[in-house]
Amino acid sequence: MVLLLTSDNEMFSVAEDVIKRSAYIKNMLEDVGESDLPIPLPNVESNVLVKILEYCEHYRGEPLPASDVDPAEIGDRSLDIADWDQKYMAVDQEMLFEIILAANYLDIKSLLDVGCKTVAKMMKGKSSEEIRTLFNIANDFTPEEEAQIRKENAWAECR
Amino acid sequence: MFSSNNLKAWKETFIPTPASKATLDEGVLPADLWFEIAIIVEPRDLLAMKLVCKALHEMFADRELWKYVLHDVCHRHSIFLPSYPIDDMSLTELQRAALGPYRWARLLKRKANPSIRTESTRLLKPLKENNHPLGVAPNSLQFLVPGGRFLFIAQRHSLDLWDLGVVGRQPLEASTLIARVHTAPPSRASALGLDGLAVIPLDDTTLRVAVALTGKNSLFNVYDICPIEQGIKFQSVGSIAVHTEVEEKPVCKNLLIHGNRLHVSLTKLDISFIWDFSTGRYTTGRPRMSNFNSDISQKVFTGTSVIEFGKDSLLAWAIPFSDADTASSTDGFAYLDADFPRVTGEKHEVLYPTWRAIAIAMTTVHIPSLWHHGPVLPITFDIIRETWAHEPSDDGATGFRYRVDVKPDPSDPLNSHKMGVAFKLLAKFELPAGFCYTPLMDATPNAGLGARHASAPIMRMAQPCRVVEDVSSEVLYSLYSVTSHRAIPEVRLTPILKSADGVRVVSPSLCSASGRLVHTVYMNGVPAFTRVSDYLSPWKD
Repeated sequence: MVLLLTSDNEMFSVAEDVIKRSAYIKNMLEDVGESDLPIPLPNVESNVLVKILEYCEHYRGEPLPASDVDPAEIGDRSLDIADWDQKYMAVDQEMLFEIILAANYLDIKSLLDVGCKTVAKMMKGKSSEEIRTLFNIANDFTPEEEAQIRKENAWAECR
Repeated sequence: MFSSNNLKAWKETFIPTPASKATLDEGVLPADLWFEIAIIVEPRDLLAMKLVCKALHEMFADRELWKYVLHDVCHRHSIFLPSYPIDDMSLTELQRAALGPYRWARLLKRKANPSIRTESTRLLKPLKENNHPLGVAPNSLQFLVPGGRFLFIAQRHSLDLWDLGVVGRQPLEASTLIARVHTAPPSRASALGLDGLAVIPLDDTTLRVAVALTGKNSLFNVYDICPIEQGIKFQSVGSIAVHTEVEEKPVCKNLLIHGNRLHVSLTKLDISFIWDFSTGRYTTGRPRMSNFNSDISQKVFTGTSVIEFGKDSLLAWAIPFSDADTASSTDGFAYLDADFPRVTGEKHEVLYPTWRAIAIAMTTVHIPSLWHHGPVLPITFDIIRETWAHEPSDDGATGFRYRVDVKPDPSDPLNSHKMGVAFKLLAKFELPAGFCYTPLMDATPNAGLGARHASAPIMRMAQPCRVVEDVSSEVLYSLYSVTSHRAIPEVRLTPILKSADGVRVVSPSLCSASGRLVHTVYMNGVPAFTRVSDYLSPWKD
């Protein structure tokens, strides 16, 4: 078993083959070896870790992705998401981003992919204004700057 | 294949200004996760993301990122990479090119009509048109390389590669002849007629071309050419002669290349052969596997098997390519005696999933074969009622669109007996009354009037064909698309070219990724010029 300590000071005891989906922890275990000391996760809150462990538990036993795969290599670019992953990602937006951040921190490639795909799908076909609303991003362009940028990109919506 | 160097360069060199960094750090995601998302969204969405706020604008208004995006678009839409001079394109140019497929699909959607009448047809007007005197002789064959820049013209005894100019840039003063090769030796040229042209991408920069010349001693030549090198030449890869005592001239059907193998069917001689020009070995079979009483249908060639779409089923000829089954050529020159073919291999049949449900069915097949890449060969085909074929029907019909994935057994890729065939129903669509339907069964995914956009399949339709004064006729070329509107499929047409008796349109081909159409105009029966029409706005800043 591996001990994990979240940012809100909760201790989790997790089977090694479950948490090994996190390349970050896998590498740490290989480097440090057996230890009774908990691994601190200062960037992950307990409610997020519960969610992350649910993912790792579900894919327990599935082969881990090869580590030498270049993430930017052009391959399957489709935004298809497996059914289970879709249900798993049906969370509020705050949690979605927390999952992505945690997956990035813990280096769980497949979960990060699913998270990014989910965000990409949310943005599909949306206007800049809609994307701002969706992610609660402030428009910090001055009206002049915005008019200028719109003009520059007007071609995209005509031919 | 494109390496991710550009992207790495972008990721490593991008340093947000302190103001942007602050915005991003307070926001929902840090910069490096926006990068991850940027490379998976569609180019159109990336453009929208760029306009969200200063920080994202700064991050996504980057040439290296858009170079990556255009490479990716080229890969996904089977565009031949040298069509665009990616390394010296400005940011605006890169963005416009990357959004080409989107802009073209959007244009078609906006200009499409639910129906057309001959009397009041408005053709989709190009933004720019140029006529090029390419010296095309009658009965030549053309192939527009996806990307719209390069055009192959096969004449009776020669093969030319032309540079029509990069789509979106200032048009060239005149098209440039990049290279020419004589396809038949002078001693035999008079006895041979041009009968086929096929082009595939060999890698990112090289094209492979096959030319069929038929006669008593038919000749099939294969060349490689890399159009952006210095001192470009057609490199001969192989040549095979097919001899027969049959008096009648054979007709070449289904000239298909896959890797180092060429497939040809010959009527009159009643054979198909597959020739591996890397080893000089060939194997022969029947031109048609089904007993469907028609001409030889279009086929898919996977390199290890030949797939034919019959009336009720799909038939596959598993090509035996062991030494025992193939004949070897001598003296470096392949020679096949067509009068004594030894038919090898066996066929197997897979019934269509819904064929029983339709009284009279026919199929139209959209084959991505020649320009497709990837381990699975997805073939899209429609099954519709036969009354739809070639003449207007009084009632509507239901069409079924399927995707067939043909996949060789990974453990034994050369043994095509183990091939996996899976059908997937993509759509059911209603087609209105009063149309005739000319199925298109070949063409590359992005070049050719039968273009198939990544999401909205577009088919060719030559309709209506109006007979004037018994002999002449008018043909309207329309792009025909089945789109889904609130889950109800709709048929829409965009008329694009009109061919009349005095001014005839010959061999139109289209690149739907760049919005360029190329066709030859015949005046009074004689080829006058080749017209290059661009439908999308140029890239000027």
